[in-house]
Amino acid sequence: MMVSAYEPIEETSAQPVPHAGHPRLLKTYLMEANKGLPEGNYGNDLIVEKKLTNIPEICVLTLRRSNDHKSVRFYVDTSDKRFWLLHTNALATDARSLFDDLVFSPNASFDKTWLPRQMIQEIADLPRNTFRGFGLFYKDFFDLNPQTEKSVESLKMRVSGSSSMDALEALRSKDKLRHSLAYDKIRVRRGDLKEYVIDELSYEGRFSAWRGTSVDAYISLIEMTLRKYRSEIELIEENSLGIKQVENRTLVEGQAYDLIFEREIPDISLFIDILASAREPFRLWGLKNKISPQEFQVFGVDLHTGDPINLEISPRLLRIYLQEGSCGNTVLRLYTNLQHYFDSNLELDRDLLQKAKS
Amino acid sequence: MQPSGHTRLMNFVIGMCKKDEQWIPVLYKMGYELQIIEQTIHVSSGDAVKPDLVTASNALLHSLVFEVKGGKSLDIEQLKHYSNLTPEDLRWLTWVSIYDKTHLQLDVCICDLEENHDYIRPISSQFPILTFGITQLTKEGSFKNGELNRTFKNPISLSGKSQPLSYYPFSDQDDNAYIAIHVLRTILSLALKDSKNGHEFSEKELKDKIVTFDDVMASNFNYVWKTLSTEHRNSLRAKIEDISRKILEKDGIKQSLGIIQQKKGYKIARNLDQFKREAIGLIEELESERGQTGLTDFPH
Repeated sequence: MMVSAYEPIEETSAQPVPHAGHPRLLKTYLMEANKGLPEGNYGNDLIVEKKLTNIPEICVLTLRRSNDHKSVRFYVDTSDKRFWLLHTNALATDARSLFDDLVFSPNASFDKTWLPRQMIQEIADLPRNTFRGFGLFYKDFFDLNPQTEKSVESLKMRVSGSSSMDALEALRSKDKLRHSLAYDKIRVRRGDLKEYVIDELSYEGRFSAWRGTSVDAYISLIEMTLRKYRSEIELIEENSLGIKQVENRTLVEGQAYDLIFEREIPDISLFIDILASAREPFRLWGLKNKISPQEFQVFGVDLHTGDPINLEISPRLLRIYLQEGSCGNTVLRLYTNLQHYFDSNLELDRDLLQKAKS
Repeated sequence: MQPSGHTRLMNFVIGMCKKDEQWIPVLYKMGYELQIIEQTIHVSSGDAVKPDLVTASNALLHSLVFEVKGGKSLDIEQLKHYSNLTPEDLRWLTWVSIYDKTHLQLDVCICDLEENHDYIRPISSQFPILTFGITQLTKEGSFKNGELNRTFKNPISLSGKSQPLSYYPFSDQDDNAYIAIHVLRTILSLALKDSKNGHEFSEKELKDKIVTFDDVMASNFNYVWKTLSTEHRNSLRAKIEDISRKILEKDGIKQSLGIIQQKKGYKIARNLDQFKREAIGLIEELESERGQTGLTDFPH
């Protein structure tokens, strides 16, 4: 079944600019930078020119491909050493495509920020925010059983207006759709009557200011999102598996994380072949090991950083073992993308994150 | 392929100390935390024991000392030494934050698998035994601690539970094929990390680094390396070195690793596929070797 209720309202280079001098949208990409810019090539066709400014934390990056003259300029705020903000007013399609090239450069240690459905909802519900609409995006990457009746192959939809939440509830009540309702983006109004912004936030950490009067409101939404995201990542990393020396004793600490599926995995072996095939968006390479017909291990490598990661997969469970020093973003990347490409009702067992290492 | 009985049991017990409802968090609920793995404890009688796991609960002021038996045999001398183990012997080891060490009590517990239980039970009947079967966990014998007796009084169902297997990655009792999966993964992880750091190894450098590894490098293969006893490390080192040598002698693996190392990023996905194919081939080769009887399998 294919459901497509809207054509995306995006700025594209194919569209004529509606009015001469019509201002383009301000966009901000929230990116995780485990290391700085690579010194040599990026391992793809990307060419990056960096210009310093008078402010040490701000630089200008111009991105283009070696076989294309089109370029996009990003104003990069690196005040937060780990999470960089890349601002631009370039056309959305150009900016997004080159940003993707930068983030997925094999020789860089960059990643997007990945906001699971539950976190996006929490951001929408923050004080001073009013929910104004949403977009959904779902594509079944793991179309594992072509013989049985199809559920949803793909779903893309956009709903706006004050009754958006009612529309979402109506969709949730449809059994056939229940595993495919993952937020592509939400639209919120942030601020007060006079000073406000109408802002869109995507699950890949992209903000777009649609209209408004206050850049402060725009920036504060980014800051609130970053704070929430950072706290989640740090909690995950505090619970990673590691050893600690205490008074001549070596202690083993940490906790695996459980992702619990509502949709059952029909063929785990095939599921792993797709998940650990070293391709985007999962960026995971892995060797599988069958323990029993219903239980597999995956000995993986996160291609974002090169860190090892172990998974255990059964029909309704994906257990993640993150080793100390590994990047917590790996967990959120898996979690978020599995919501968009397999089961939007996937849940991270949050109880496991409550107790950090002492 | 199944990990060894030892590796499975180590993970099962550690998993019981974790807050994970997808397994059986019974020890976690009583406040037990993992304290040490495979470290020698000198008993006041002058002997020494080397329990596989020592856990302690601040809530119960109790330490549960595990001897894990994945096979059919048990060291009877070691068991005798356990009889002399006192809370006093453990006090320096257990938990800095334990609030009342003077009242700490202990139980020694044997842990085995259902398929070997008939061999283990007769020689370890002086201690309580926790036995993992396919569908349930059962207890035989009694703990000194009443809370433990109440918890394990009835069999605990394991159906619908997902066994944890990666808290304790592997031991010297695991098959070469199982250890090889970890080694192959680690070699790729190191190669990718170095390429991201802009460093490119020569074939010889890579081989030297991985085949003759130090303790820091070993932690990449097995993160609990530093907790293992010296004897276990030595035995595991010999296995890992042997497997690494075999891996790095394979032309297909060297070639795909080499390309990944050369930072030709756009080719990485394709060469990761090639590396995976080579890796699977090698693991299958090692698995088939396991099935064959070697000369050393025959008694002299």
